[in-house]
Amino acid sequence: VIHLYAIADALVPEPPPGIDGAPVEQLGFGGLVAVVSRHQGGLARTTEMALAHAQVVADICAAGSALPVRFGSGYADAEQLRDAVAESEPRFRALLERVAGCVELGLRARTPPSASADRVGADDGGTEGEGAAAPEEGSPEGAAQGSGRAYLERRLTEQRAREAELVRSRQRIEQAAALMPPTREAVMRMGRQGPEMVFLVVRTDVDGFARAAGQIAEEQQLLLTGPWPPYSFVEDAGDG
Amino acid sequence: MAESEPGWELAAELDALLERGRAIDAKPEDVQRGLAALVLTLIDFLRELMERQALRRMDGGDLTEEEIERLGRTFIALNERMDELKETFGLTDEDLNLDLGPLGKLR
Repeated sequence: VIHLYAIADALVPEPPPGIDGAPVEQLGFGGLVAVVSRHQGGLARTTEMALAHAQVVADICAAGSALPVRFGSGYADAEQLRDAVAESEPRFRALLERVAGCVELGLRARTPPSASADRVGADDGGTEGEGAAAPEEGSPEGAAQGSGRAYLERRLTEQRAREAELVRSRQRIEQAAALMPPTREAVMRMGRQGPEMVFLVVRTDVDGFARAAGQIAEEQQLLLTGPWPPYSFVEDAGDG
Repeated sequence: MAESEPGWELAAELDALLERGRAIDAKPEDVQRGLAALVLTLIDFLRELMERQALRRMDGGDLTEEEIERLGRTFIALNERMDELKETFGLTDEDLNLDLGPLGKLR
């Protein structure tokens, strides 16, 4: 399996070793370069593997101008990869131009708003939920009258509280971001850790930006992360 | 990149599972557990979608008292059943969240 790390528009000088020390190869496809390594079978989808992948990608992006690719892009052979690259070539070129010489930083809440937000149903619905609402529990059919409504109402209240929290979190981030030095791009997005403002920053400006922005983040009790390879600006390209 | 859409891909998950199953030292119970995690994740995802829809309709006044009660109980029962299945297969909520590291989570 050919494992893809990044797409570049020129050979990346001195690429790092790949996952498990596999040699990194650079396959040229019509002016674009796919930075890959070959592995027997698919790579295990573990956190360790994903972290190893992220490290290789970070090294590649630091060495040259490249589009980072998330962990999990495997291709059966060079042919398949070539087709995939060819299919997206105009998009890749536009993205390469967009993120050329840039890294990404993120601004988000220190503790994600309701980290368990989407999991509440499974987490407490089944246990604490009917336990509280239906004293006799066991079979839901035998539960106290009104327990079904009580459950849904509780879930509705939780959902509203979560939504309000997300709005508040977004506002805090936007206000803090407004105080930060201008960057090439700044986009608000819904990250895994809640609302997040991602900044596309020219590599040479990173130190200055990180210093100024880091201080503001500190004052506003927010978290500035990065610099990362510009994943968000490569992936969110479709929806701007 | 064509395959690197953010989020989660059933095909890729199934491939990985199959790949693991083909390994010389593969244990059938591990593969079974992996498949159970996938299936339960999907069920839980659907349950959540349904619940959101139910809440929306309740909020919009589209449901009768009786329907609300019945739906609420259905979700309670579903949650219970999910917990049972998770226990049977020795899975935690984290397993169902399919943590793929930097790749992200299903939800």
